[in-house]
Amino acid sequence: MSLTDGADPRTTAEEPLIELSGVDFGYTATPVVEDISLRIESGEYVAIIGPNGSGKSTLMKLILGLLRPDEGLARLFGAPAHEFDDGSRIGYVAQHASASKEMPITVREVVQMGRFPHVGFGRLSTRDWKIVDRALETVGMSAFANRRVTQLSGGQRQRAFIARALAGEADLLVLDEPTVGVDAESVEAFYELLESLNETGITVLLIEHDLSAVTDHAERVVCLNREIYFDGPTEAFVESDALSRAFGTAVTQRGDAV
Amino acid sequence: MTATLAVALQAGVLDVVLAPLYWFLSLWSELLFWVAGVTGFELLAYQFMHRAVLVGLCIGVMAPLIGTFLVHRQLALIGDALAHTAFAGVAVGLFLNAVLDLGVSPYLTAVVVAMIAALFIELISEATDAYNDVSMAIVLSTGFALGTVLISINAGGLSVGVNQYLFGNLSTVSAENAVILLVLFGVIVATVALTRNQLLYVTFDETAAAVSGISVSWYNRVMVMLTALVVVGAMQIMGVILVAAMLVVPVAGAAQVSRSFTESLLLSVVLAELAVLLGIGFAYYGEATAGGVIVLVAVAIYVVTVLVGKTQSHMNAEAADVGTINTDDTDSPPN
Repeated sequence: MSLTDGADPRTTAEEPLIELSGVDFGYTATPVVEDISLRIESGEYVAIIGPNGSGKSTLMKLILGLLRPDEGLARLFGAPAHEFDDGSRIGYVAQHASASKEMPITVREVVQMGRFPHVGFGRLSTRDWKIVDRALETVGMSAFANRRVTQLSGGQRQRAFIARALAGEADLLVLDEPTVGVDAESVEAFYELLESLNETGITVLLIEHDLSAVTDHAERVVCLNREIYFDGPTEAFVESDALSRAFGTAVTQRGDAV
Repeated sequence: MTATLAVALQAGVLDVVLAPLYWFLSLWSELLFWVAGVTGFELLAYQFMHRAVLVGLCIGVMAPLIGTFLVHRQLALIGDALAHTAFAGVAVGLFLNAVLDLGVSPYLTAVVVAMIAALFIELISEATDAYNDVSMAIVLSTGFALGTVLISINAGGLSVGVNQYLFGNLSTVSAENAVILLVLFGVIVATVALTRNQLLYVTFDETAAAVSGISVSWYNRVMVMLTALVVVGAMQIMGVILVAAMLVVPVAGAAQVSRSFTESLLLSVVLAELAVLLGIGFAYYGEATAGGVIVLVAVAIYVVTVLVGKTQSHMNAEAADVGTINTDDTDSPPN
């Protein structure tokens, strides 16, 4: 799309960061997500919400190119998602369960990983370490830089993972149910941090099942249960009946399965 | 295939390439003769012990180096599975030597067979999307069964030499085998030094590593291949049955007391070296099997680190009340 002009692709305005059109995907014959079309522009704060088993995580993997759609197109930064390989542009924060829990590793060492896509096989330069330290500062974890990650609370650990994404100088932050297992006070601070990052121009894509978190913070909501039930501004979502329809279907489906 | 490989390995080209290593070996031997003269350590007065100590020192570096990346992904048992397939490789080598009179080192055939098995395990796990116990157990027992069958077919002469591979032996480390180990050592250390960033990322957080553009399956393959190399290298002294312990025990010990990953990596090497050197010493003077003694020493060291770690975290818990909430540290299940 932006091949014709010589401008830095990072600043091309018309090109959406994420673009799905008519995407179907299933691990078996039954589709997990169906006919998904979605455009996310640079600088947005979007939340994908849906009941358990609604295909949220699958959709995220399709967006990130970790899975390839059975039908339809998934594009990331203007390239086919599965071919996109500039990992430094995406920061990923998972439910903390996915990272090794027992491993001895300090917060700083985790944040340092954000620089790996930039340095490849090389060592981190002084400049890289400065970026790491700045990222730690931004999330307010400087004091914990030399703590072992296993000794952090859930909220602190998620801040460390955000710092890793920041150290990577990512344009897009993808968070998969980041506040599972995080205590209530830390959750609030965590979303404030996300909001302030979004204000600096980072695109935030939040996958959540916690409704209040979404309606309090996101600008735009995508409500998912196998297919998209709603896609629009948060205020409109709160007034619509999309939620009950999406979650209601889930209940009957589960009833059918049993 | 194996025949041509063996022929190539016997060829003169390789001798030239390996000549510096043989030279290093004799230099090392002279050094230890000198140490023996100065200190009066009786065990250093024999040349075979010099080679055994050198091999032991290499094992002490490469086993925990690779083990660190395996243990923190709950892949500790893959070393065991590969060791048993390496035994099949040894049997293949002995078999070929007996039948075709090739004169190839069984450790070389073990390298080849273990690498193939490693790749096989990795491909199975990629296809099924998980390292599963069952396929690992099948590979393990197939390897061992193949080994015993090949050896029993050739019974008589062969069964005599098998103990050395099963349990390891200090006195049978030939110059040729020591050189093979030095080559393996070089390959392993160089590969880890080059890919440490990627290996660390994949070990710690596979999905995030994939998102950041690292080819997870490619590095997983590298990892299992390296594991196969370590296992074969360490087999000479540790034996098939105990070799996996060196991948796991020092790493587990280091994890108890270290805070950072770098620290744990270095400490695991120190602990492994300690176990190897003390173990070789005890084994020599106690006239016991080195592999077993080394593992017992390593486990003793592990117990000490557990105690030290417990005291440490106890002291930390009392000292660190600066707004931290230590919730999921103490009650996480010992997995």
